[in-house]
Amino acid sequence: MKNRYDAIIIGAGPAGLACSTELADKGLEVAVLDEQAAPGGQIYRNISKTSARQRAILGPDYTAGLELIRAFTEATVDYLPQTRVWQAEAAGEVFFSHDNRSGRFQAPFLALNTGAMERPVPFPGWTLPGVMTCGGMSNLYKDSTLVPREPVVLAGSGPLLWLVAEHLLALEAPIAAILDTTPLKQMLTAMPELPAALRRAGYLFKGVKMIAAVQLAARKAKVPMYRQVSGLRAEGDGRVERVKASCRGRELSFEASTLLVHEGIIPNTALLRQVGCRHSWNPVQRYWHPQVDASGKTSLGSVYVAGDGTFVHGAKAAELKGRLTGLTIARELRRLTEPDYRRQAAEVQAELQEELLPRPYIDALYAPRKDLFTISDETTVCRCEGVTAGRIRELVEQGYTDHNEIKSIIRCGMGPCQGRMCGSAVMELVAEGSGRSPEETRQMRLRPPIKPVSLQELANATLGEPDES
Amino acid sequence: MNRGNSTFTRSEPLSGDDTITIFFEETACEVPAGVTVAAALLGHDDHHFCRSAADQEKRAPHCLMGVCFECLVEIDGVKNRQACLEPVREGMQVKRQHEPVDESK
Ligand code: FES
Repeated sequence: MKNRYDAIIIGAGPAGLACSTELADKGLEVAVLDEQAAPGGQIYRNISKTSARQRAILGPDYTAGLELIRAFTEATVDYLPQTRVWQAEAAGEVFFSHDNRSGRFQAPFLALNTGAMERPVPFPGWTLPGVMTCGGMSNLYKDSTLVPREPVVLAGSGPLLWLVAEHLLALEAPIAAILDTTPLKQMLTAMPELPAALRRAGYLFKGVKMIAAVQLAARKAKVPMYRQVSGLRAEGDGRVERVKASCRGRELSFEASTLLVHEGIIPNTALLRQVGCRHSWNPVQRYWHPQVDASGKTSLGSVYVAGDGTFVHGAKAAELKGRLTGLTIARELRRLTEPDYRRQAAEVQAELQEELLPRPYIDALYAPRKDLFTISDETTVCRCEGVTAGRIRELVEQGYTDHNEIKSIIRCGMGPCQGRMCGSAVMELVAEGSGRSPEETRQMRLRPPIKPVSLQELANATLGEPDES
Repeated sequence: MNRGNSTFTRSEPLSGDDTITIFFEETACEVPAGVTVAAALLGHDDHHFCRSAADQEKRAPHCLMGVCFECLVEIDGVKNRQACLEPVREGMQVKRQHEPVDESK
């Protein structure tokens, strides 16, 4: 296999697919590396194999991906599915494991389209088997048509909570309750952003209508729904048996064997932090995101990021951002003249701007609520190493405000997930204890390998292979 | 196959030729072809996939998208495999992982 390309694209979600298709179109040699077995990312997961019924349940927002997949399948790219990238270097190198071997590719341009993940929020019992994310449930259904057959509780805030509820209701899964944790007052704080959002009223109303329809269906199916829920916890012996919460002073308790949680979506920046591009802090959505220009170019120049990895804007925007990045890299590689680039990029940009109009409103409405990270001392924050909030608070009280230091003292963030699951919470605990905004503290670093790589894979390296290009 | 332990069910029937056999803790299980190891196991016995290194607590898939590392299993003798990313293959040997092993360090 070749190991030198014009560009290496990481991730085969909407951004990666659009970006690589654009580059291949311009006659450039591209490698696409993705963790999953099939293209589509999380949103269009398994789309080429899902049944007619699955597609009907998942709806047009899912089948919208078919066209993207078709174009990608027809494009001439070296596509490596089931590939774990464990290191990227700004000089244009990517190290990965694929099929029990490790490899290294080189290219003058990298596009790291690592997408997004659900915001991990610790609460008592969140490590119990049976506690999953709403997105995880959706993935499970897309992969295998599995649905809960025993009582399931959905809890959290954001459109995905209602979307998954919609699917589960249509599939007649036994929903024990839907607990919406969005504070009422965020409706008010989001108000100033509404006029811009209304310039794309169609989009906004589609969301509002979806949620209203789910609530109607839930009422018909006699599924209890609660608003302004707080104090979520899961209990059970070795797995979830009960879900408890409070709702405006009232204590709730449900027998359930699955709890699906969702507290918003954040960029998945693990690889971006490892490669070392500069990030900014967003105080509304409270997450770090890479600093990129309109084309997705990071502070590292030859490293680009497109899609939800730059900022969470949804699947359609991710596709458009991927396209822009593709066009820009093609221009840098002189496969596109300046006037052609300007014309094509302007079209995509106009569409993207339209797509982004409602986002500030949605971001404010579903911003992480004030008490989201009010974590009790006994609650496990770092799942891998079993570190509690109390232990982290102790260190913050002693003056430690850097996750990198906290990690080296109590191993918080040192396990296999490398802080992907505890990062947001540690940052908030530091902010709470020190009174400093996360902006003033250092971001958590990731050292390679950022994915487990076995000795065998390293031994089976193809690094030394003669350069075939 | 014993499905008594699973809290999930397939919402669409599977025809006979679409299944393959994998081994979970040395027991043969018939599972749908083409699904991930995580989906295969969750449809079969979702009690737990691994134990946490720090306190030996039972853990099972949480994110199903490759970020939480709570689905680590041993596949054909290789540890630290993320079950939510790995598709099933005929004859695959899957075992619970009782503690994450960091082979790289
Ligand atoms: S379930 Fe989270 S990494 Fe596999």
